[in-house]
Amino acid sequence: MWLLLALGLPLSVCAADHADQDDTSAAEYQPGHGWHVPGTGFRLGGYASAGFDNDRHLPAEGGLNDVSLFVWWEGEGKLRLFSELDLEDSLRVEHGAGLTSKRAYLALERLYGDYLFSEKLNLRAGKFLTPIGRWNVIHADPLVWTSSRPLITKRTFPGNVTGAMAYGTLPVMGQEIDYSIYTAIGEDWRSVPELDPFTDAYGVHFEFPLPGAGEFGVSYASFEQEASAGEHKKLLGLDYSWAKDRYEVSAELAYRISDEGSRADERGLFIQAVAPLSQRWYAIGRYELYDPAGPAPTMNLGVLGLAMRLSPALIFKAELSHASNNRIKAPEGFFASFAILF
Amino acid sequence: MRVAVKTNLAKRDRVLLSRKRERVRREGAGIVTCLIKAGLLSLCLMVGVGADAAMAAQGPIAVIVAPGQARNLKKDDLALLFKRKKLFWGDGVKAQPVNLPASHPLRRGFSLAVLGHTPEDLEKYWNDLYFHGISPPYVLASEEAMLRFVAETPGAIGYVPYCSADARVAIGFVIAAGRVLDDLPEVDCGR
Repeated sequence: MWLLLALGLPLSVCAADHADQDDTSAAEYQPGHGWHVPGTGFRLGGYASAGFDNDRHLPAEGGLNDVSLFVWWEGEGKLRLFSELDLEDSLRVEHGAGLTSKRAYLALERLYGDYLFSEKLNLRAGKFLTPIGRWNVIHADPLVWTSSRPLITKRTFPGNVTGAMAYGTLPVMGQEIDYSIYTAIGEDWRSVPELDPFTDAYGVHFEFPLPGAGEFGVSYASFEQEASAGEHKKLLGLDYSWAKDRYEVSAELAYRISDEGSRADERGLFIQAVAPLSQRWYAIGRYELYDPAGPAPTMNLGVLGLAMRLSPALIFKAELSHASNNRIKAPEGFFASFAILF
Repeated sequence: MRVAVKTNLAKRDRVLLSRKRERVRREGAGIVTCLIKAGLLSLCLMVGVGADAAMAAQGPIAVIVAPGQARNLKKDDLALLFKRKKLFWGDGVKAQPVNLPASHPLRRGFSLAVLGHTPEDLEKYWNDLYFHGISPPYVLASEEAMLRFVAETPGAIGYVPYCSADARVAIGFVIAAGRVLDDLPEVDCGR
Protein backbone atom coordinates (compact mmCIF):
# COMPACT_ATOMS: atom_id res chain seq x y z
CA MET A 1 0.00 0.00 0.00
CA TRP A 2 2.72 2.45 1.01
CA LEU A 3 4.75 1.48 -2.03
CA LEU A 4 1.86 2.34 -4.28
CA LEU A 5 1.18 5.54 -2.39
CA ALA A 6 4.80 6.52 -2.83
CA LEU A 7 4.57 5.86 -6.54
CA GLY A 8 1.09 7.20 -6.92
CA LEU A 9 1.23 10.51 -5.11
CA PRO A 10 3.78 12.15 -7.40
CA LEU A 11 1.68 10.98 -10.32
CA SER A 12 -1.41 12.34 -8.61
CA VAL A 13 0.14 15.80 -8.43
CA CYS A 14 0.79 15.54 -12.14
CA ALA A 15 -2.72 14.24 -12.71
CA ALA A 16 -4.27 17.02 -10.64
CA ASP A 17 -2.47 19.55 -12.81
CA HIS A 18 -4.47 18.12 -15.69
CA ALA A 19 -7.72 17.93 -13.79
CA ASP A 20 -9.49 20.25 -16.20
CA GLN A 21 -8.50 18.19 -19.21
CA ASP A 22 -10.06 14.89 -20.06
CA ASP A 23 -7.95 14.23 -23.04
CA THR A 24 -4.50 13.75 -24.42
CA SER A 25 -2.27 16.33 -25.93
CA ALA A 26 -0.23 15.02 -28.77
CA ALA A 27 3.16 15.27 -27.14
CA GLU A 28 2.93 14.77 -23.40
CA TYR A 29 2.31 11.84 -21.10
CA GLN A 30 -0.79 12.12 -18.99
CA PRO A 31 -1.84 9.57 -16.34
CA GLY A 32 -4.84 7.63 -17.53
CA HIS A 33 -4.05 8.07 -21.19
CA GLY A 34 -1.00 5.88 -21.63
CA TRP A 35 2.29 6.66 -23.27
CA HIS A 36 2.72 6.75 -27.01
CA VAL A 37 6.06 5.23 -27.95
CA PRO A 38 7.49 7.91 -30.25
CA GLY A 39 7.70 7.01 -33.89
CA THR A 40 5.61 3.86 -33.55
CA GLY A 41 1.97 2.92 -33.34
CA PHE A 42 2.51 1.42 -29.89
CA ARG A 43 1.07 2.74 -26.65
CA LEU A 44 1.74 1.54 -23.14
CA GLY A 45 -0.60 1.99 -20.24
CA GLY A 46 -2.32 0.13 -17.47
CA TYR A 47 -3.37 0.38 -13.89
CA ALA A 48 -2.29 -0.61 -10.42
CA SER A 49 -4.14 -1.05 -7.18
CA ALA A 50 -3.24 -1.75 -3.60
CA GLY A 51 -5.65 -2.49 -0.81
CA PHE A 52 -6.45 -3.55 2.71
CA ASP A 53 -9.08 -6.24 3.28
CA ASN A 54 -10.66 -6.97 6.63
CA ASP A 55 -13.02 -9.69 5.48
CA ARG A 56 -14.85 -11.15 8.48
CA HIS A 57 -14.40 -14.64 7.04
CA LEU A 58 -10.62 -14.35 6.64
CA PRO A 59 -7.58 -12.94 8.46
CA ALA A 60 -6.94 -9.28 7.66
CA GLU A 61 -4.48 -8.74 4.82
CA GLY A 62 -3.23 -6.12 2.45
CA GLY A 63 -0.89 -5.58 -0.44
CA LEU A 64 -0.60 -5.03 -4.14
CA ASN A 65 -3.76 -6.40 -5.73
CA ASP A 66 -3.02 -5.76 -9.38
CA VAL A 67 -0.31 -4.35 -11.58
CA SER A 68 -1.78 -4.50 -15.02
CA LEU A 69 0.06 -3.56 -18.20
CA PHE A 70 -1.69 -2.66 -21.44
CA VAL A 71 0.26 -2.74 -24.69
CA TRP A 72 -1.59 -1.86 -27.82
CA TRP A 73 -0.77 -1.03 -31.38
CA GLU A 74 -2.68 0.93 -33.94
CA GLY A 75 -1.33 1.96 -37.31
CA GLU A 76 -2.91 3.89 -40.13
CA GLY A 77 -4.69 0.78 -41.39
CA LYS A 78 -7.65 -1.12 -40.05
CA LEU A 79 -5.80 -3.55 -37.80
CA ARG A 80 -5.53 -2.94 -34.07
CA LEU A 81 -3.84 -5.15 -31.47
CA PHE A 82 -4.36 -5.08 -27.72
CA SER A 83 -2.95 -7.01 -24.79
CA GLU A 84 -3.30 -6.88 -21.02
CA LEU A 85 -1.08 -8.77 -18.62
CA ASP A 86 -2.10 -8.61 -14.99
CA LEU A 87 0.28 -9.44 -12.15
CA GLU A 88 -2.17 -10.38 -9.42
CA ASP A 89 -1.45 -10.42 -5.68
CA SER A 90 2.25 -9.86 -6.29
CA LEU A 91 2.93 -8.71 -2.73
CA ARG A 92 0.71 -9.48 0.24
CA VAL A 93 1.05 -8.81 3.92
CA GLU A 94 -0.88 -11.57 5.64
CA HIS A 95 -1.72 -11.89 9.29
CA GLY A 96 0.84 -14.25 10.84
CA ALA A 97 2.76 -14.79 7.59
CA GLY A 98 4.23 -11.36 6.95
CA LEU A 99 5.19 -10.24 3.49
CA THR A 100 4.69 -12.91 0.87
CA SER A 101 4.43 -13.30 -2.87
CA LYS A 102 3.27 -16.91 -2.84
CA ARG A 103 -0.08 -16.04 -4.37
CA ALA A 104 1.43 -13.99 -7.20
CA TYR A 105 0.13 -14.93 -10.62
CA LEU A 106 0.71 -13.44 -14.03
CA ALA A 107 -2.64 -13.58 -15.78
CA LEU A 108 -3.30 -13.03 -19.43
CA GLU A 109 -6.41 -10.91 -19.14
CA ARG A 110 -6.74 -9.98 -22.79
CA LEU A 111 -4.92 -10.59 -26.05
CA TYR A 112 -6.72 -9.86 -29.27
CA GLY A 113 -6.63 -8.36 -32.69
CA ASP A 114 -9.37 -6.18 -34.15
CA TYR A 115 -10.11 -5.67 -37.80
CA LEU A 116 -12.04 -2.42 -38.10
CA PHE A 117 -14.24 -2.67 -41.16
CA SER A 118 -16.40 0.30 -40.18
CA GLU A 119 -18.26 1.67 -37.17
CA LYS A 120 -21.01 -0.82 -37.99
CA LEU A 121 -18.85 -3.93 -38.11
CA ASN A 122 -15.56 -4.82 -36.46
CA LEU A 123 -14.13 -8.27 -35.96
CA ARG A 124 -12.17 -9.38 -32.91
CA ALA A 125 -10.24 -12.61 -32.42
CA GLY A 126 -8.33 -13.72 -29.33
CA LYS A 127 -9.01 -13.48 -25.61
CA PHE A 128 -11.31 -10.67 -24.52
CA LEU A 129 -13.68 -9.68 -21.73
CA THR A 130 -17.09 -11.32 -21.82
CA PRO A 131 -19.60 -8.66 -22.88
CA ILE A 132 -22.24 -9.39 -20.25
CA GLY A 133 -23.48 -6.34 -18.38
CA ARG A 134 -21.26 -3.30 -17.84
CA TRP A 135 -19.18 -4.02 -14.76
CA ASN A 136 -17.29 -6.93 -16.30
CA VAL A 137 -16.09 -4.95 -19.30
CA ILE A 138 -14.82 -2.01 -17.21
CA HIS A 139 -13.88 -3.88 -14.04
CA ALA A 140 -10.46 -2.24 -13.50
CA ASP A 141 -10.08 -0.88 -9.98
CA PRO A 142 -9.61 2.78 -10.99
CA LEU A 143 -12.82 2.69 -13.03
CA VAL A 144 -15.21 1.32 -10.44
CA TRP A 145 -16.41 2.92 -7.23
CA THR A 146 -15.97 0.05 -4.78
CA SER A 147 -13.14 -2.32 -3.88
CA SER A 148 -15.57 -5.23 -3.76
CA ARG A 149 -17.39 -6.43 -6.82
CA PRO A 150 -21.09 -7.32 -7.13
CA LEU A 151 -21.43 -11.09 -6.97
CA ILE A 152 -23.55 -11.41 -10.10
CA THR A 153 -20.79 -9.79 -12.16
CA LYS A 154 -18.26 -12.35 -10.99
CA ARG A 155 -19.93 -15.64 -10.09
CA THR A 156 -22.62 -16.15 -12.71
CA PHE A 157 -20.34 -16.26 -15.79
CA PRO A 158 -16.63 -16.37 -16.68
CA GLY A 159 -15.11 -12.93 -17.18
CA ASN A 160 -13.13 -13.79 -20.32
CA VAL A 161 -13.80 -15.49 -23.61
CA THR A 162 -11.20 -16.94 -25.94
CA GLY A 163 -12.80 -16.88 -29.33
CA ALA A 164 -14.19 -14.43 -31.85
CA MET A 165 -16.54 -11.48 -31.73
CA ALA A 166 -18.27 -9.09 -34.11
CA TYR A 167 -19.15 -5.70 -32.69
CA GLY A 168 -20.07 -2.20 -33.74
CA THR A 169 -22.59 0.61 -33.60
CA LEU A 170 -25.76 0.51 -35.65
CA PRO A 171 -27.91 3.54 -36.36
CA VAL A 172 -31.53 2.70 -35.58
CA MET A 173 -34.17 5.42 -35.70
CA GLY A 174 -31.61 8.12 -35.10
CA GLN A 175 -30.05 6.33 -32.13
CA GLU A 176 -26.70 4.58 -31.81
CA ILE A 177 -27.13 0.97 -30.72
CA ASP A 178 -23.94 -0.84 -29.73
CA TYR A 179 -23.86 -4.57 -30.22
CA SER A 180 -21.48 -7.50 -29.76
CA ILE A 181 -21.94 -11.10 -30.84
CA TYR A 182 -19.33 -13.61 -29.72
CA THR A 183 -18.45 -17.25 -29.51
CA ALA A 184 -15.81 -19.19 -27.61
CA ILE A 185 -13.40 -21.20 -29.72
CA GLY A 186 -11.10 -23.81 -28.23
CA GLU A 187 -9.57 -23.68 -24.76
CA ASP A 188 -9.25 -20.55 -22.70
CA TRP A 189 -5.76 -19.00 -22.90
CA ARG A 190 -3.89 -19.01 -19.59
CA SER A 191 -6.85 -19.02 -17.27
CA VAL A 192 -6.57 -17.72 -13.74
CA PRO A 193 -6.53 -20.93 -11.64
CA GLU A 194 -9.46 -20.07 -9.38
CA LEU A 195 -11.72 -19.13 -12.30
CA ASP A 196 -13.88 -21.59 -14.16
CA PRO A 197 -13.52 -20.82 -17.88
CA PHE A 198 -15.93 -21.40 -20.74
CA THR A 199 -15.56 -24.61 -22.66
CA ASP A 200 -18.30 -23.66 -25.05
CA ALA A 201 -20.15 -20.35 -25.32
CA TYR A 202 -21.93 -17.92 -27.54
CA GLY A 203 -23.80 -14.77 -26.69
CA VAL A 204 -24.94 -11.29 -27.63
CA HIS A 205 -25.05 -7.93 -25.94
CA PHE A 206 -26.96 -4.83 -27.03
CA GLU A 207 -26.66 -1.36 -25.54
CA PHE A 208 -29.40 1.18 -26.19
CA PRO A 209 -29.17 4.89 -25.36
CA LEU A 210 -32.16 6.34 -23.54
CA PRO A 211 -31.91 10.02 -24.53
CA GLY A 212 -31.45 12.04 -21.37
CA ALA A 213 -32.03 8.99 -19.21
CA GLY A 214 -28.88 6.88 -19.47
CA GLU A 215 -28.17 3.63 -21.26
CA PHE A 216 -29.87 0.28 -21.13
CA GLY A 217 -28.28 -3.04 -22.04
CA VAL A 218 -29.46 -6.58 -22.68
CA SER A 219 -27.22 -9.66 -22.62
CA TYR A 220 -27.88 -13.25 -23.54
CA ALA A 221 -25.38 -16.09 -23.30
CA SER A 222 -25.51 -19.85 -23.69
CA PHE A 223 -22.50 -21.72 -22.30
CA GLU A 224 -20.76 -24.58 -20.52
CA GLN A 225 -17.87 -24.31 -18.08
CA GLU A 226 -14.86 -26.48 -17.39
CA ALA A 227 -15.67 -27.41 -13.79
CA SER A 228 -19.21 -28.45 -14.60
CA ALA A 229 -18.72 -30.25 -17.89
CA GLY A 230 -21.99 -31.37 -19.45
CA GLU A 231 -24.11 -28.83 -17.59
CA HIS A 232 -25.51 -26.32 -20.05
CA LYS A 233 -26.39 -22.84 -18.81
CA LYS A 234 -28.29 -19.94 -20.32
CA LEU A 235 -28.04 -16.44 -18.97
CA LEU A 236 -30.20 -13.38 -19.49
CA GLY A 237 -28.79 -10.10 -18.24
CA LEU A 238 -30.04 -6.54 -18.06
CA ASP A 239 -27.97 -3.49 -17.22
CA TYR A 240 -28.61 0.20 -16.81
CA SER A 241 -26.43 3.21 -16.20
CA TRP A 242 -27.05 6.92 -15.88
CA ALA A 243 -24.64 9.73 -15.05
CA LYS A 244 -25.05 13.48 -14.84
CA ASP A 245 -23.32 16.25 -12.95
CA ARG A 246 -21.16 13.66 -11.13
CA TYR A 247 -24.19 11.69 -9.89
CA GLU A 248 -24.42 8.11 -11.10
CA VAL A 249 -26.89 5.27 -10.92
CA SER A 250 -26.13 1.81 -12.25
CA ALA A 251 -27.84 -1.53 -11.99
CA GLU A 252 -27.46 -5.04 -13.34
CA LEU A 253 -29.60 -8.12 -13.27
CA ALA A 254 -28.60 -11.66 -14.19
CA TYR A 255 -30.79 -14.75 -14.40
CA ARG A 256 -28.97 -17.96 -15.22
CA ILE A 257 -30.79 -21.22 -15.75
CA SER A 258 -29.26 -24.67 -15.88
CA ASP A 259 -30.39 -27.80 -17.71
CA GLU A 260 -29.77 -29.67 -14.45
CA GLY A 261 -32.84 -28.21 -12.79
CA SER A 262 -33.85 -25.20 -10.79
CA ARG A 263 -31.47 -25.98 -7.87
CA ALA A 264 -28.62 -25.18 -10.22
CA ASP A 265 -30.16 -21.88 -11.34
CA GLU A 266 -28.56 -18.66 -10.20
CA ARG A 267 -29.94 -15.12 -10.20
CA GLY A 268 -29.38 -11.75 -8.70
CA LEU A 269 -29.40 -8.02 -9.16
CA PHE A 270 -27.67 -4.98 -7.80
CA ILE A 271 -28.32 -1.28 -7.83
CA GLN A 272 -25.64 1.27 -7.03
CA ALA A 273 -25.86 5.03 -6.54
CA VAL A 274 -23.00 7.53 -6.39
CA ALA A 275 -23.34 11.10 -5.15
CA PRO A 276 -20.69 13.82 -4.98
CA LEU A 277 -20.06 15.20 -1.49
CA SER A 278 -17.47 17.77 -2.50
CA GLN A 279 -15.14 18.41 -5.40
CA ARG A 280 -13.27 15.16 -4.74
CA TRP A 281 -15.32 13.10 -2.31
CA TYR A 282 -18.16 10.80 -3.25
CA ALA A 283 -20.60 8.65 -1.30
CA ILE A 284 -21.51 5.24 -2.67
CA GLY A 285 -24.34 2.94 -1.74
CA ARG A 286 -25.09 -0.46 -3.23
CA TYR A 287 -27.67 -3.12 -2.59
CA GLU A 288 -27.39 -6.60 -4.02
CA LEU A 289 -29.77 -9.54 -3.97
CA TYR A 290 -28.08 -12.81 -4.85
CA ASP A 291 -29.52 -16.29 -5.07
CA PRO A 292 -26.61 -18.69 -5.70
CA ALA A 293 -26.86 -22.08 -7.33
CA GLY A 294 -27.09 -24.97 -4.90
CA PRO A 295 -28.57 -25.19 -1.45
CA ALA A 296 -27.35 -21.83 -0.11
CA PRO A 297 -30.22 -19.41 0.58
CA THR A 298 -30.82 -16.09 -1.12
CA MET A 299 -28.61 -13.42 0.37
CA ASN A 300 -28.83 -9.65 0.70
CA LEU A 301 -25.65 -7.62 0.57
CA GLY A 302 -25.29 -3.91 1.29
CA VAL A 303 -22.26 -1.71 0.73
CA LEU A 304 -21.69 1.82 2.00
CA GLY A 305 -18.58 3.54 0.81
CA LEU A 306 -16.60 6.71 0.40
CA ALA A 307 -14.32 7.49 -2.49
CA MET A 308 -11.88 10.31 -3.05
CA ARG A 309 -11.21 10.87 -6.72
CA LEU A 310 -8.00 12.87 -6.87
CA SER A 311 -8.15 13.02 -10.65
CA PRO A 312 -9.92 11.03 -13.35
CA ALA A 313 -7.03 8.57 -13.15
CA LEU A 314 -6.60 8.25 -9.39
CA ILE A 315 -9.02 7.05 -6.72
CA PHE A 316 -8.98 6.10 -3.06
CA LYS A 317 -11.88 3.95 -1.82
CA ALA A 318 -13.08 2.69 1.55
CA GLU A 319 -16.23 0.73 2.24
CA LEU A 320 -18.17 -1.30 4.75
CA SER A 321 -20.25 -4.22 3.58
CA HIS A 322 -22.68 -6.45 5.37
CA ALA A 323 -24.55 -9.52 4.16
CA SER A 324 -27.36 -11.66 5.41
CA ASN A 325 -27.46 -15.46 4.87
CA ASN A 326 -23.87 -15.35 3.67
CA ARG A 327 -23.28 -19.11 3.52
CA ILE A 328 -21.02 -18.77 0.49
CA LYS A 329 -18.65 -16.54 2.47
CA ALA A 330 -18.79 -13.69 0.01
CA PRO A 331 -16.43 -10.86 1.01
CA GLU A 332 -17.98 -8.90 3.86
CA GLY A 333 -16.39 -6.39 6.22
CA PHE A 334 -14.13 -3.37 5.70
CA PHE A 335 -12.20 -2.85 2.49
CA ALA A 336 -10.01 0.01 1.34
CA SER A 337 -7.97 0.45 -1.80
CA PHE A 338 -6.00 2.92 -3.81
CA ALA A 339 -5.92 2.66 -7.59
CA ILE A 340 -4.33 4.53 -10.45
CA LEU A 341 -4.56 4.39 -14.21
CA PHE A 342 -1.19 5.07 -15.75
CA MET B 1 -22.04 48.84 -42.65
CA ARG B 2 -21.96 45.10 -43.13
CA VAL B 3 -18.60 43.61 -43.88
CA ALA B 4 -18.78 40.41 -45.85
CA VAL B 5 -17.29 37.18 -44.64
CA LYS B 6 -13.95 36.72 -46.28
CA THR B 7 -14.14 34.56 -49.35
CA ASN B 8 -11.60 32.16 -48.12
CA LEU B 9 -13.76 29.12 -47.49
CA ALA B 10 -14.00 25.98 -49.53
CA LYS B 11 -15.60 26.11 -52.95
CA ARG B 12 -19.05 24.98 -51.86
CA ASP B 13 -19.04 27.45 -49.04
CA ARG B 14 -17.90 30.26 -51.31
CA VAL B 15 -20.81 29.67 -53.66
CA LEU B 16 -23.30 29.73 -50.83
CA LEU B 17 -21.77 32.81 -49.31
CA SER B 18 -21.68 34.76 -52.56
CA ARG B 19 -25.40 34.12 -52.99
CA LYS B 20 -26.00 35.32 -49.50
CA ARG B 21 -23.92 38.43 -50.05
CA GLU B 22 -25.91 39.27 -53.15
CA ARG B 23 -29.14 38.99 -51.22
CA VAL B 24 -27.72 41.12 -48.46
CA ARG B 25 -26.78 43.89 -50.90
CA ARG B 26 -30.25 43.84 -52.41
CA GLU B 27 -32.13 43.95 -49.17
CA GLY B 28 -30.12 46.55 -47.40
CA ALA B 29 -27.31 45.80 -45.08
CA GLY B 30 -28.56 47.51 -41.95
CA ILE B 31 -31.96 45.85 -41.89
CA VAL B 32 -30.58 42.42 -42.69
CA THR B 33 -27.89 42.61 -40.07
CA CYS B 34 -30.49 43.56 -37.55
CA LEU B 35 -32.79 40.74 -38.64
CA ILE B 36 -29.99 38.18 -38.59
CA LYS B 37 -29.04 39.10 -35.09
CA ALA B 38 -32.66 39.10 -33.97
CA GLY B 39 -33.26 35.75 -35.69
CA LEU B 40 -30.25 34.11 -34.10
CA LEU B 41 -31.17 35.51 -30.72
CA SER B 42 -34.77 34.34 -30.94
CA LEU B 43 -33.61 30.92 -32.15
CA CYS B 44 -31.35 30.74 -29.13
CA LEU B 45 -34.21 31.69 -26.86
CA MET B 46 -36.62 29.26 -28.48
CA VAL B 47 -34.30 26.26 -28.53
CA GLY B 48 -32.10 27.03 -25.59
CA VAL B 49 -31.98 23.35 -24.52
CA GLY B 50 -28.54 21.99 -23.80
CA ALA B 51 -26.74 25.11 -24.90
CA ASP B 52 -25.76 27.41 -22.13
CA ALA B 53 -25.75 31.16 -22.29
CA ALA B 54 -22.04 31.23 -22.93
CA MET B 55 -22.50 29.28 -26.10
CA ALA B 56 -25.26 31.51 -27.38
CA ALA B 57 -23.06 34.49 -26.73
CA GLN B 58 -20.04 33.01 -28.48
CA GLY B 59 -21.83 32.70 -31.83
CA PRO B 60 -21.97 29.87 -34.31
CA ILE B 61 -19.33 27.16 -34.44
CA ALA B 62 -17.97 25.84 -37.72
CA VAL B 63 -17.12 22.15 -37.88
CA ILE B 64 -14.05 22.12 -40.09
CA VAL B 65 -12.33 19.51 -42.20
CA ALA B 66 -9.58 19.58 -44.75
CA PRO B 67 -10.69 21.01 -48.12
CA GLY B 68 -12.22 18.23 -50.18
CA GLN B 69 -13.20 16.21 -47.13
CA ALA B 70 -16.51 18.00 -46.48
CA ARG B 71 -18.39 15.84 -48.95
CA ASN B 72 -17.60 12.79 -46.81
CA LEU B 73 -19.09 14.28 -43.67
CA LYS B 74 -22.60 13.35 -42.61
CA LYS B 75 -24.44 14.96 -39.73
CA ASP B 76 -24.98 11.63 -37.96
CA ASP B 77 -21.24 10.93 -38.12
CA LEU B 78 -20.23 13.89 -35.96
CA ALA B 79 -20.96 12.25 -32.61
CA LEU B 80 -19.53 8.93 -33.78
CA LEU B 81 -16.30 10.61 -34.85
CA PHE B 82 -15.85 12.56 -31.61
CA LYS B 83 -16.75 9.52 -29.47
CA ARG B 84 -14.14 7.53 -31.43
CA LYS B 85 -16.71 5.00 -32.58
CA LYS B 86 -16.20 5.90 -36.22
CA LEU B 87 -12.50 5.65 -36.94
CA PHE B 88 -12.38 6.00 -40.72
CA TRP B 89 -13.86 8.27 -43.33
CA GLY B 90 -15.90 6.82 -46.17
CA ASP B 91 -12.82 6.84 -48.43
CA GLY B 92 -10.81 4.79 -45.92
CA VAL B 93 -8.69 7.65 -44.57
CA LYS B 94 -8.25 7.46 -40.81
CA ALA B 95 -10.34 10.05 -38.98
CA GLN B 96 -8.38 12.39 -36.69
CA PRO B 97 -10.82 14.35 -34.51
CA VAL B 98 -9.26 17.11 -32.43
CA ASN B 99 -10.59 19.05 -29.47
CA LEU B 100 -9.87 22.32 -27.76
CA PRO B 101 -9.09 22.15 -24.00
CA ALA B 102 -11.99 21.00 -21.82
CA SER B 103 -12.39 24.44 -20.23
CA HIS B 104 -12.58 26.28 -23.57
CA PRO B 105 -16.09 27.75 -24.13
CA LEU B 106 -16.10 26.56 -27.73
CA ARG B 107 -15.32 23.00 -26.64
CA ARG B 108 -18.13 23.09 -24.12
CA GLY B 109 -20.61 24.38 -26.70
CA PHE B 110 -19.52 21.77 -29.23
CA SER B 111 -19.63 18.96 -26.67
CA LEU B 112 -23.15 19.83 -25.51
CA ALA B 113 -24.50 20.25 -29.03
CA VAL B 114 -22.91 17.19 -30.61
CA LEU B 115 -22.32 14.73 -27.77
CA GLY B 116 -25.09 15.86 -25.44
CA HIS B 117 -22.75 16.11 -22.43
CA THR B 118 -20.19 18.45 -20.96
CA PRO B 119 -16.52 17.42 -21.17
CA GLU B 120 -16.62 16.65 -17.43
CA ASP B 121 -19.56 14.28 -17.86
CA LEU B 122 -17.58 12.46 -20.54
CA GLU B 123 -14.56 11.80 -18.32
CA LYS B 124 -15.93 8.42 -17.29
CA TYR B 125 -16.67 7.54 -20.90
CA TRP B 126 -13.04 8.21 -21.87
CA ASN B 127 -11.64 6.36 -18.87
CA ASP B 128 -13.76 3.35 -19.81
CA LEU B 129 -12.58 3.50 -23.41
CA TYR B 130 -8.97 3.83 -22.31
CA PHE B 131 -9.40 0.46 -20.61
CA HIS B 132 -10.05 -0.87 -24.12
CA GLY B 133 -7.13 0.90 -25.73
CA ILE B 134 -9.06 3.77 -27.27
CA SER B 135 -7.80 7.27 -26.65
CA PRO B 136 -9.88 10.46 -26.76
CA PRO B 137 -9.31 13.02 -29.50
CA TYR B 138 -6.08 14.97 -29.24
CA VAL B 139 -6.31 18.36 -27.61
CA LEU B 140 -4.92 21.43 -29.30
CA ALA B 141 -4.23 24.55 -27.32
CA SER B 142 -5.78 27.21 -29.55
CA GLU B 143 -8.15 27.86 -32.40
CA GLU B 144 -5.24 28.75 -34.67
CA ALA B 145 -3.55 25.44 -33.79
CA MET B 146 -6.78 23.68 -34.68
CA LEU B 147 -7.01 25.44 -38.03
CA ARG B 148 -3.44 24.50 -38.84
CA PHE B 149 -3.82 20.88 -37.71
CA VAL B 150 -7.03 20.33 -39.65
CA ALA B 151 -5.62 21.99 -42.77
CA GLU B 152 -2.42 19.94 -42.71
CA THR B 153 -3.56 16.53 -41.41
CA PRO B 154 -5.36 14.11 -43.71
CA GLY B 155 -8.62 12.98 -42.14
CA ALA B 156 -8.64 15.66 -39.44
CA ILE B 157 -11.83 17.23 -38.15
CA GLY B 158 -12.21 20.02 -35.60
CA TYR B 159 -14.15 23.19 -34.90
CA VAL B 160 -13.54 26.91 -34.65
CA PRO B 161 -15.73 30.01 -34.38
CA TYR B 162 -17.64 30.34 -37.66
CA CYS B 163 -16.04 33.63 -38.55
CA SER B 164 -12.54 32.27 -37.91
CA ALA B 165 -12.81 29.56 -40.56
CA ASP B 166 -10.58 30.52 -43.50
CA ALA B 167 -9.47 29.14 -46.84
CA ARG B 168 -7.21 26.52 -45.30
CA VAL B 169 -10.24 24.46 -44.26
CA ALA B 170 -13.74 23.58 -45.41
CA ILE B 171 -16.84 23.99 -43.30
CA GLY B 172 -18.74 20.75 -42.90
CA PHE B 173 -21.51 21.89 -40.59
CA VAL B 174 -22.39 24.87 -38.47
CA ILE B 175 -23.56 24.62 -34.88
CA ALA B 176 -25.75 27.42 -33.56
CA ALA B 177 -28.10 27.61 -30.61
CA GLY B 178 -26.99 24.17 -29.46
CA ARG B 179 -27.90 22.43 -32.70
CA VAL B 180 -26.11 21.18 -35.76
CA LEU B 181 -27.68 23.11 -38.65
CA ASP B 182 -28.37 21.61 -42.03
CA ASP B 183 -27.54 24.79 -43.92
CA LEU B 184 -24.96 27.48 -43.50
CA PRO B 185 -26.53 30.37 -41.61
CA GLU B 186 -26.40 33.97 -42.60
CA VAL B 187 -23.94 35.40 -40.16
CA ASP B 188 -22.48 38.85 -39.96
CA CYS B 189 -18.75 38.41 -39.55
CA GLY B 190 -18.19 42.15 -39.65
CA ARG B 191 -15.33 43.40 -37.57
